[in-house]
Amino acid sequence: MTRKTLCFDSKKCVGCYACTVACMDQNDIDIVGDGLMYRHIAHVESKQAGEVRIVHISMACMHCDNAECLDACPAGALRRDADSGAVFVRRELCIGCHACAMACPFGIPRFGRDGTMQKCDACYARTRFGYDPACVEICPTGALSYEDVNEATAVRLRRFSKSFA
Amino acid sequence: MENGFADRPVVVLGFGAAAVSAICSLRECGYDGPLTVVTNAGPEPYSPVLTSYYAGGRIGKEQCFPWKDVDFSDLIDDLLFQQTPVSVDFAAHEVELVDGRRVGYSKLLVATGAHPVAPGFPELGAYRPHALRTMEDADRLYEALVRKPHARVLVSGTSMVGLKVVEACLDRKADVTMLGRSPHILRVSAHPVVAERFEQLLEERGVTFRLSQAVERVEDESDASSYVVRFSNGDEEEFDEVVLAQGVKPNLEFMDSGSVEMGDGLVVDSFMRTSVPDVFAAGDVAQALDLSSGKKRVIGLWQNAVQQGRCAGAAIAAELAGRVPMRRYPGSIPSNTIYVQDVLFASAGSVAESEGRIIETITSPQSTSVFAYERKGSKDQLVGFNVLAVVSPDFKNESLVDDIGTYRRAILNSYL
Ligand SMILES: Cc1cc2nc3c(=O)[nH]c(=O)nc-3n(C[C@H](O)[C@H](O)[C@H](O)COP(=O)(O)OP(=O)(O)OC[C@H]3O[C@@H](n4cnc5c(N)ncnc54)[C@H](O)[C@@H]3O)c2cc1C
Repeated sequence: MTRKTLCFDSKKCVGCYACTVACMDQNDIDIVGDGLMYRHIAHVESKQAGEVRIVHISMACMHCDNAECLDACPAGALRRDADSGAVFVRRELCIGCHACAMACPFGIPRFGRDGTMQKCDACYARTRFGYDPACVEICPTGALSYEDVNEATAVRLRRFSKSFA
Repeated sequence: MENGFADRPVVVLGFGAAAVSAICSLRECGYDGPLTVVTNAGPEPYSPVLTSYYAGGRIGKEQCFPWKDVDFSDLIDDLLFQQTPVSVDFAAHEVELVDGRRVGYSKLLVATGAHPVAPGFPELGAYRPHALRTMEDADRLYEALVRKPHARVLVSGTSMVGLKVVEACLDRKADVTMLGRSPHILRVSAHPVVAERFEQLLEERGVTFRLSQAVERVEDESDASSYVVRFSNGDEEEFDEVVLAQGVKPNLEFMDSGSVEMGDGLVVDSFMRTSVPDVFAAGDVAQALDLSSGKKRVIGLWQNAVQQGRCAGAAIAAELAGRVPMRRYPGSIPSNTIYVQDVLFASAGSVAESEGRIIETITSPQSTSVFAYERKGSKDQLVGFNVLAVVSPDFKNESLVDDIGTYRRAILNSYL
């Protein structure tokens, strides 16, 4: 199976929240009750050449290559799926110690009423049957995509190399 | 490898976090030669972190073995369990075991962790006080707490492990007293303002403190079912159990300190190599770089053990393949998360008051936090924090708790 990765292009994101709603729907997250959202949108304002710019950023677990949360979990509750590369939590093993929260540089881990950690699992329930993650499928502008790791890296490098031109 | 030892196995002493991580990394990095593991415990590796959760009844014993999905028979050729090394002959590249066997090695990784010590605690006669590190320790504490509900337990030591024992005792409805020589708990990692609030919150949850005190004498009652403890302030009190959680020392009795560079642990470089060729160390035995002080010292944390083990495994595989090791251990900073009932304490870096440091305190009804900054260039750089919070899903106020990882990263980034 080709390893795929979640990609985000801030230039295409309009901050419409469709991804967060699709995520809540897919994962049965009831935020009126005590559900915790896995995906968030940040709106970052900056001033460039006198003009105010707003960048929208859709953020969830990055499933980092060097995921520090994996190293920090003393309970074996975090694992990486060998096929998809996604980092997922086995809540039945989580002791709620917050070591993952301390290790994650993006502030992703959240803890539910039962004290266990919850986060995005890159829609493992969908991707293992060949579907894209719910946030990707719904994204109307193509800001979120689920791509072959090598292809995604090549695109990123092409974009980066243009900055030297 | 040209020294004539190349056909010998890689030998790993210990079978905990650092050892397992090193073993997996060795194989992932392509080492396909023989691998021998020597451990004084059983054939299945356990996590010391989970022992208090088991003793307190939060998890079952089987959950203390977090590598259930790793097939070690694929990775290890010879697993010598319930075995202890007595010495290492560096010149002959051999480890001598307690049963007299000598095991030759091409590369040796020392990953034997640490054991509890209790400096200054008086001899207890026939009574063996509790400690918490191994599965045997956990079984004993578990049985003691189950055998006698509402047991009166004295926990000597106010560090991370002491607080974990307190949590286990509270879970078992024990009547727990925490004893420490310092005026406040968590002397090294907590700012006094945070420590004091933590003590108040724990008192509200049933913990009694005896701070700035020590134990002078312990006497067995005639039926040996309880102990009268005399404290340095003259008080006497009866307890059912005593748990020592004053500190730890690396398990290095088998290493000759004259032949290898040692301080509080084995001094290592960024590839986890000791001063002796072909001998590596990782985890609670390794004195590696503390980024915040720039000095090498043991920072006994799970994540450090895992990351050091991985670097050691990669370096051993590289050296045996005639390659230059590439994966460096960057160093770490002290960090901590402790959860007692609904109270979370998280800290990283240093919040000690010192010349030129700015200390910011933030208090709310549910939390007290301290952030320490140092001026670097034109910026105030975060060098340490404490976040103490009553965490309840009913208060959505704890963004400070959610952000502990980003604060830690900010501190690390300033050193890397
Ligand atoms: C109660 C408790 C709670 C903790 N909580 C936390 C926490 O919340 N967060 C955190 O980061 N850290 C915590 N720690 C510390 C953490 O457990 C250690 O830092 C980590 O386990 C170190 O890994 P290690 O592989 O070096 O040692 P260990 O995991 O202790 O492994 C050592 C291995 O060596 C074996 N061994 C020991 N002596 C010998 C010998 N002479 N010969 C052969 N084998 C030997 C042991 O049986 C074991 O297999 C806690 C520790 C304790 C005791």
